Amino acid sequence: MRYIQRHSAFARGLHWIHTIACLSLFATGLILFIPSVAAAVGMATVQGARMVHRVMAVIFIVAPIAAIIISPKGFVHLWKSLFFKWDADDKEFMAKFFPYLFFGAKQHMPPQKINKSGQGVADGALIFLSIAISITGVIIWFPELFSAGIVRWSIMLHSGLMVLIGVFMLAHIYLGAGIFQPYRGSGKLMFGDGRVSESDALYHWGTWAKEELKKGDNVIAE
Amino acid sequence: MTNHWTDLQNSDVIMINGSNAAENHPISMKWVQVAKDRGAKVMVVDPRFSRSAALADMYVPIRTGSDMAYYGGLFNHIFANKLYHEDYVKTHTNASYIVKSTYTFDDGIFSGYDAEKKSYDAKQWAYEVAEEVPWDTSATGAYAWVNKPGTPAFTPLVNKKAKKDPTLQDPNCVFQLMKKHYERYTPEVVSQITGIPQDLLIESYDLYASTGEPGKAGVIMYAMGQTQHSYGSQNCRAMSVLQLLLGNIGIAGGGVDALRGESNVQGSTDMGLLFGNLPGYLNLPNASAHKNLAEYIEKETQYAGWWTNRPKYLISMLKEWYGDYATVENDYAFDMVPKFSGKPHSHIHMFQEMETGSIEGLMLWGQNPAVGGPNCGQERRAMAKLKWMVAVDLWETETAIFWKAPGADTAAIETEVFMLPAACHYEKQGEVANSGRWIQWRYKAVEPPGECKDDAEIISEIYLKLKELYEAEGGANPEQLTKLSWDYLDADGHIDITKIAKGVNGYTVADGKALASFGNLQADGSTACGCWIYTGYFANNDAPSDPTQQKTGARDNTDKPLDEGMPVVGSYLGWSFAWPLNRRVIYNRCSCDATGKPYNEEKALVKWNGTKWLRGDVPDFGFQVVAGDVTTPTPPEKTLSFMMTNETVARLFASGMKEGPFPEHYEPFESPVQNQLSSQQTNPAVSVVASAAETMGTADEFPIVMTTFRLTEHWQTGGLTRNLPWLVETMPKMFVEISKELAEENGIVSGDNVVIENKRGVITAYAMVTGRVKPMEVGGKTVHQIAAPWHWGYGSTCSIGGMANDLTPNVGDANTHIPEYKSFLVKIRKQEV
Amino acid sequence: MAETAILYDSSKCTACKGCQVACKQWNQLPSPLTNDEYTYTESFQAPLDLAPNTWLIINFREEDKEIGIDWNFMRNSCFHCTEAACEMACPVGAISHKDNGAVVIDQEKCIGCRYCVAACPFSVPRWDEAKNKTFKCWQCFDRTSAERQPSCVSTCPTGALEYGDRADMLGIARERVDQLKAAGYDKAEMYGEKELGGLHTIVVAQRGLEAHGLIRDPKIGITDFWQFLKPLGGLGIAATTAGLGFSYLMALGYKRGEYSYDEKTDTLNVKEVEK
Repeated sequence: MRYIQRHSAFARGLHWIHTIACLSLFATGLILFIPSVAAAVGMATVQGARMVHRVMAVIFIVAPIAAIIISPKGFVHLWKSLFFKWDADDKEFMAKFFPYLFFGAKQHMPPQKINKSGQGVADGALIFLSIAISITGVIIWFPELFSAGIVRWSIMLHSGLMVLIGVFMLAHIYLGAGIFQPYRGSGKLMFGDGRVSESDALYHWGTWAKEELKKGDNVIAE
Repeated sequence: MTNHWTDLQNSDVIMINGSNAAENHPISMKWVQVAKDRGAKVMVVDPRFSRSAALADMYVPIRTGSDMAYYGGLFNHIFANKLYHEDYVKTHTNASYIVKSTYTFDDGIFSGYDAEKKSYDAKQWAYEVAEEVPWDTSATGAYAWVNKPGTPAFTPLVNKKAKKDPTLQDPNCVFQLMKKHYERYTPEVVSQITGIPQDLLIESYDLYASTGEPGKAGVIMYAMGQTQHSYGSQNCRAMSVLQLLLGNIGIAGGGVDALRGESNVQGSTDMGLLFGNLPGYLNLPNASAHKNLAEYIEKETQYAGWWTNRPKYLISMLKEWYGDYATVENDYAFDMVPKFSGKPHSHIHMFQEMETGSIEGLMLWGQNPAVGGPNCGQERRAMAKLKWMVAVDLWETETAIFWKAPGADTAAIETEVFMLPAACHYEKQGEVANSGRWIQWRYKAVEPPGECKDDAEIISEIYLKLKELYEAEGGANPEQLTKLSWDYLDADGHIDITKIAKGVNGYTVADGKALASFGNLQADGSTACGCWIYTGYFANNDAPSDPTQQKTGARDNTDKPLDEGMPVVGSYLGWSFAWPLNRRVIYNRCSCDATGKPYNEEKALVKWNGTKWLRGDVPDFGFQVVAGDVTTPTPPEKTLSFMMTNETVARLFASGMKEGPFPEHYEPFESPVQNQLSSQQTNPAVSVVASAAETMGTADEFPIVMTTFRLTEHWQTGGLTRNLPWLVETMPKMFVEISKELAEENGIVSGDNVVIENKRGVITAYAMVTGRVKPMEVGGKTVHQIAAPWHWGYGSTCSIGGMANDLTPNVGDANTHIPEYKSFLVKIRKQEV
Repeated sequence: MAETAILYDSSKCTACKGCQVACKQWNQLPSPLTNDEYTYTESFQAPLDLAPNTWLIINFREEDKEIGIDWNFMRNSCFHCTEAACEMACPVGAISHKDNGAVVIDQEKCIGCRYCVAACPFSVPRWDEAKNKTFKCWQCFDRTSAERQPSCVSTCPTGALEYGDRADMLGIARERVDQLKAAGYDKAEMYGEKELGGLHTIVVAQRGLEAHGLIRDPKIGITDFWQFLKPLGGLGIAATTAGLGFSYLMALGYKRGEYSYDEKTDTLNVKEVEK
């Protein structure tokens, strides 16, 4: 069996951290988002949740920034892998993806580069939404530093972004963790050893897998 | 007040002059507002735009200290345009009285002036006498009481009836003399003195003089802005004269309304706390003029009017003080009464005497002269020469710690100071009299904390101890204390304030029954009464010790006249007791013409219906004679307009004033300009104490005019309010109001610390640069005025600040010696950081 | 309980600040205790602004004139809006309307998030850092629900403050504005009848809204409706979940082929899995 080392330990660590931060932010945010939940859990829990929300917010913001500082190359790699010019395959993939996702598996999908065009959209969106929710969050945290109008918009956007991120995150988990049957096994890419089997790699990212196998630098044979 | 708070609603024009009623008497504005809602106009004459001015229809900015010129101009305006209430002036004032030709006035000085003594011989201003009528002391005469057994022997008086000219044409009648006197007060001159632009001046004159129309009412609300001048008494005279010319005295909505600056300052003056007074406004005896009771009676009793009864009040008071010890044989203990030496013993003089060492001890009762006194730096230095001081107060005031004052040489001060903690008004019961002369009973809500005691209890304990010491050890004049009647203790030996109230009210000595009216008081020792004007306020013999059952405790909030058929005018006769005799508007006979017809039927207070007097208010004249079961109404022509004067009419011309019979404009002792009306710069009857004379400044050195004021947020010297954070927060820091123009000249902006100084002291205050004070054109030059509150001192943890009275002069008025707090000179600069 | 309101008549106000102190006293709101804690405000307005411990102040505005000034006073406190932005902003439902129209923060529920602070167009609610709660005037609901006037109203000496049925207060205000106009105050206006669905503090502005620092025609902005995002967001997330569930069902049982690649021949081999 051959494997390709798709994600470094550093990248996986960062993903772990961010996953935990993100989910706890979502959960604690939800307590504040729904009055009945806040009322049900009681004041001490609410204030605890707010504290956790702030601590996690710091991690949520600081971890990626630290990662960029520690590994600027990694950032460039990530950036390029998500935001690239789409060729015919990428466009075709995008066109076929929704039928593929919702109406069965028989669809043949065109081969993809290191990231699918859809991944570029979804994960890229998550990055931008995360930056936006971070900025609005900081404004809400320190409202006295900003005008009431900015704070009001931030409060609204922060909540809207939470919903949007929630939507994207659900999709991300569904696909990324391999709950979607055709994507079975993807979970261990980020949460496991970061390796992708030859077969999975070829299925998901055909063009990239071929290049990696040819190059051989990241190929591990067992 | 001649009138009362709730009566303000009846006014058509309200002149607030030298008062900041909205800030210092907030509740007054409730009634001013009712008047405004009726369409009344409010005008505020004040050097600074206050919160009262904010509510006024007209604001008239005036240079501080130029009030008399303002009034003089107004008199002139009234005469020139015939705006006076002619019938009123003829009927109720001495306008028609002929003055002797010895009366003259020349260049600011009246006849009879002695420049060396700085005093006048008032005899030069007497009336021509038409007829002399001796008192009828026969058994059926009006003065039969003189011969009653027990009445001290004295020579009955002679009523000197003045010559009159009812046409007011005689050149020496008061009307003509007055008219002539004020012709000099032209709008041009007055504008140049007061700084009020001429058109605004005339506009304000027209507005106020509009109340001269019969049926209209104008009231003057005044306070310390009028009185705290070296001619403050004459300002008050001027207001009275103005109100008489316009027919505004004795009517609903009229009056000269003194807004008393403390909740019970009315009560304190009623009780004789002024240095020249005994309770009930009897004059303090003078050691040289009144060697015995007969001399006092002969010199102090008026020959006509109600004050012919003065002996009854004095003797009843002595009976209350000395009880059985006071007999006709010993002049009713008249010798026990402190006499005054002839020298004034005012606040200013007291501190002068402390400085020279002739006063060694000082007891302070709720007083804080270290902050509140004029030239208070001098007062603190004077206190340092005392051997001992007792401060009775709710708080540790600046005076109680005068040795800690900034700049004090603490180590050199040897005064022994005792602090006696007092109970506050919620912690004791007793009465307070308000500006409207209402004597209202207040009940104790809580026990005083710790060692705090009711003032009366403190006095009683001190008295009993002194008495014990005098009895045991003797001393100078021990009888003064040992013979005092002190029947005010309860079974436990504590003071019982209701017993004092009964003594103040008065009673028949024989049976101890409280008296309902001072008409019952006698000069023969058969009655006792602590303060005759209060008689009737605590007179319920069915419940003698229950305040709720007395008139002072009455709380009937319905407003109805005494007799049916009279209008409802806000008298609230069932609410507490107004001295005298529950009368709400004094001199109310003047609300009607000679025939008893009200000038204003809708606001009538009394009215002759052809056969008898209908009463809305308690009449201020003998409206009927009761003999046994027979009541005989007194017809209008036999009633008196003003019972309290010898003339039995009001005085436009008054010979009792120290600086002349007509109020005349003089400049404050520290003034930026020369007197433009005469070459007499300052009040000629004022003598200046040494410490004041040494510290007078001139306009060359100290070009800025300063005045002081109070804020609604603070109380007097701040003893109370600067220790209550809730109040401190509403006005936390000492400041000075500076015009934008003066600020710019001196490079000052709001928030800067400003140094204000004169020869008496130096203080700092935050600058409040504001359009509320503005430069004025006076005497051909620009005069800048600044104004600062005097609430701050060094003795609070919560709020401390510069003391405005470090700068005020200890110069006093000629009649009352009230200090000239309101006009003095300073210079200012920005404090360098 | 009928709708009630406080009426503030600026033309009767002497700015004595009795209401400020009465508010502090009744609600037991402390002031600083030492001299150094106080600052000079350069104005009669003191304290200068509302604060967690200051729910009511009188604002002082000066307009200079040739003779004197126009001194315009304004009672600065909660207006108890019918359309209360603070209530709409509160994420935990701590702010609510009482039956009489008073807008009250339930301190038990307040989490100190300051959303209401940002939302209020009048900058009324104030956050206390130490307590991590937000405070504002509650129209002395404890008093009004016991048939007493709010503390500020009961202490007003001049009748500038009144409290009663909102309709009555509006009537008095209307009449007063007419009176003022007749007396020459052309710009006199009433405030609070229609603003934000109707305020429960009605104001008679003697010299017009602007002179007294009132916001003309305050509006509920789009941001005040952010709480609608909650159901909307819930819907979005539910739809997403449903869609993904559908996708899951559709793909259930799918088995992928085994892929391999021979880089030397550049051949992709797919071995289909048995069904």
